Amino acid sequence: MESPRSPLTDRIRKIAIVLALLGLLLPVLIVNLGEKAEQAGRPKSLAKLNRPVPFLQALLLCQQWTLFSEMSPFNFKLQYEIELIDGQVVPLRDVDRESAGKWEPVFFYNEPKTELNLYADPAAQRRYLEYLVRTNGIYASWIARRTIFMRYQYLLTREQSAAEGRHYGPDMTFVLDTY
Amino acid sequence: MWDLVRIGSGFTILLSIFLLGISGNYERYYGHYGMLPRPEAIDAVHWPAFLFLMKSDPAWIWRIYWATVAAALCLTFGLWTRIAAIATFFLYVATIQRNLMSYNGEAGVLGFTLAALIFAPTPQRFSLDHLLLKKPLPDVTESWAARFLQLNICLMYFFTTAGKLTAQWDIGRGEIWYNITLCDWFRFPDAEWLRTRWMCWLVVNGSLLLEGSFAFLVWTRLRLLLVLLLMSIHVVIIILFCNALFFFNVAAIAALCSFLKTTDFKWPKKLGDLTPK
Repeated sequence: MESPRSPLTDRIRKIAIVLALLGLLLPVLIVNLGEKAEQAGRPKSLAKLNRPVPFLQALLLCQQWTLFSEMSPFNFKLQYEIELIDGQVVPLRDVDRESAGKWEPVFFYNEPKTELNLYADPAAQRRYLEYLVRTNGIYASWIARRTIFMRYQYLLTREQSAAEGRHYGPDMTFVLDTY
Repeated sequence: MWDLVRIGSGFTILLSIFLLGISGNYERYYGHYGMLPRPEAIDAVHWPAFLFLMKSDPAWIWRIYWATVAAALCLTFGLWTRIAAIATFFLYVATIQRNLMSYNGEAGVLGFTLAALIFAPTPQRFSLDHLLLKKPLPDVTESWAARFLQLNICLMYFFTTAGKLTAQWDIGRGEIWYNITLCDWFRFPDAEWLRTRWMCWLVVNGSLLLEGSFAFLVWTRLRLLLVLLLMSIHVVIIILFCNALFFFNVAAIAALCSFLKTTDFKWPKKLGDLTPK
């Protein structure tokens, strides 16, 4: 039979639970407050609350919630290209994605989000380019120049759209990185 | 309603990891020669991801994969639930941390949901622990694990709303919805009626009102109504937007189940039961 806990043990346990909950929830509250203050251009003292909490962030327990709060005024795709030492220009393909064929939107369901993550991280773009170089069967020593493009399509505002009779502007290309 | 939270979260992990596995995407994201190669990852990842890096054998990641599948299966079916929740939490966190390019909204929700499941009362009614191993249901269930999950959900909706208000979501005309319906994540760009002025106003202000007030009103008598409304919004998002948002919304619906009580769906035996007491 289970022995009943003493009132002292019970109190210590309750205090420990409350402290643990506060320790897990307060950082989320503080970091998000700081981030939103920063976003809204509020006093720097509030924005300073947005500091890294490495231990909780490593465990995915300190999220910064910004779901759909910002909307890019364009649709974009990242493209990767290399110029070989013989002058030939080779667009890099993601062979894994291409091999999925019509099932790509299902098997690679996360790809639009990955593209967003890549857009925000230039170092990751370079790493992804190197991955494409490897999977396209190209040796690094053959490459003279690497270029990362963003092809984008402006979304017209409602007023522009009514005037022009279409929703999308022309496709444009912008070089993000070349090295 | 821990059963629904557990089954929903387990299902989300199982299906997403199944798709990663059969598509080759698992190797692409997390492999030693993938998008973030092992030598570079050592300096770039948070500590849970070291599980992936501890062995140089490229097949090592597939052992982690099958361990994750096994843990998530046990969690979904409620077999050795607490141990399964601990294992699933750590393996899932390690997987996401191995390459943050694979991070999506569901990872944020599943992080705190799995952490709550570790401390949730076990065994649960619809679990193999109870039905097969005949473990008795707990006499007294403590609510602090549920509160942890619920407060996290409240923070998520509150700060999402705050983020929208401090960013581009104007309370007035709601024209951001116009842009959203033209983005390449939206499944029905040809449906003009979805971006009429009244629809933009309704969608933007309605979602701001619902998400923004949820954290405060869910503790009142409006709880069930608000939870069902938010679940409906998540279902609508699944329908309207591309597959990238599917798992986030399923995970959010599973987490929202923590606000439900078993008594919420009991059919009233007589008319008198419907009147508030």
